[in-house]
Amino acid sequence: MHEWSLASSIVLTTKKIAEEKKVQVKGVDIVVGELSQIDLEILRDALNTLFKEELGWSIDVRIEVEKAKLKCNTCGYEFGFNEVWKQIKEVFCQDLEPGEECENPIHYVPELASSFIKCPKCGSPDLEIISGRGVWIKSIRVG
Amino acid sequence: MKRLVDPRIEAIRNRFSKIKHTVMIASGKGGVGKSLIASTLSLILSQRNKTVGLLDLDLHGPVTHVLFKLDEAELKESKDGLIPPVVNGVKVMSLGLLARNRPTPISGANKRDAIREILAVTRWDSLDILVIDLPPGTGDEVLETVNLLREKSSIIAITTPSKLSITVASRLIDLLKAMKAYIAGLLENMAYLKINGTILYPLGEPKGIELAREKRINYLGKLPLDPEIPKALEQGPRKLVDTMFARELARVVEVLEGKMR
Repeated sequence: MHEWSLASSIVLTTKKIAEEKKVQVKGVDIVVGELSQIDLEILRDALNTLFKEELGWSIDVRIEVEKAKLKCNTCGYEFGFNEVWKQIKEVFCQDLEPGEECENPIHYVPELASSFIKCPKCGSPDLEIISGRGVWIKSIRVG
Repeated sequence: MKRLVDPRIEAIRNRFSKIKHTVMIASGKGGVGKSLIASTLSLILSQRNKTVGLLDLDLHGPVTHVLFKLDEAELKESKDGLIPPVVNGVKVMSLGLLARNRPTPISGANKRDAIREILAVTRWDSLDILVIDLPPGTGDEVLETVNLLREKSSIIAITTPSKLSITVASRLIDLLKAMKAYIAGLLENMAYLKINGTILYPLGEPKGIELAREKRINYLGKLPLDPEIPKALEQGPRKLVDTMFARELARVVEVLEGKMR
């Protein structure tokens, strides 16, 4: 899982913006796409640690999750990740023990979703990600 | 939802700050031997004691992992990203390693996101040279990669002597120039076939030098159609560098070394 590298890039980006705008950062609001399957606790810990240790900042980090929405380009059906999670599990995690994390490459490259899931309505793999991919900085709160 | 800042841009900048040279292998159309050139070039550079990475950015038809006889199990995860497997001294990353040889029907803007994601998530650490096998044509993937890496990279445009290939190579060069990308030169593949000392031109007389002159870019040379290649591919990457094709490409590497950004 690459929560620490994500946190590192968020910290670097926030620092760069703060330097460019010459502002003091009080907090950052992060949005995590559901498809990225990020462990929010690890990301939060990594962000707090890196902001503190790399920059000496104690700031308020807020993280929200954007639900994934996919659209089938064949039949037009729009659906959520929960509707197709079973398909992911069948490919990657059939022998998983209860409580174990279902690791899969969509975590790293959400666009690969269409390689492993099909439209629950018509079965087409021609899917488009409408929302819920990646990680980004929604806003930076300044003092 | 409105996105203020994409942190992947900084992640990519950070990753590439540890890479001395990036060379992209580009072509206007498929089937000109781009992946073979990118792979063999990586192996030759590795033989010369360079630390080398090979990144296959062909989203729809990645093949370099097949050429290097890799499967997805060899891609290691770490808390700082994905660690490419090393074959014959070359670190190899391909979407094919993640997609488990399934089709990758990635469309539209999703392609640009996929490119950013791969560039941001792959942990190369320090490299002398990263060779990037670009997808054929001038689609989203090529535009996005060139935009993200333009400042620190060199591009080798590939053509064959065929009129069709020369025509699309001409358009590719125009596009790259308009994007202010640095073109290290034009390389002409499948330029000749040598049988029992006789030189044949199955795709027509080489015309790359004329195109390079017209576009005012370097002509890096000619590579042969080499009948040894299919057998070498079966035997694995180590054999690839023993072919006539590789010996000719090694000469190009010497020309290229002074022309890289």
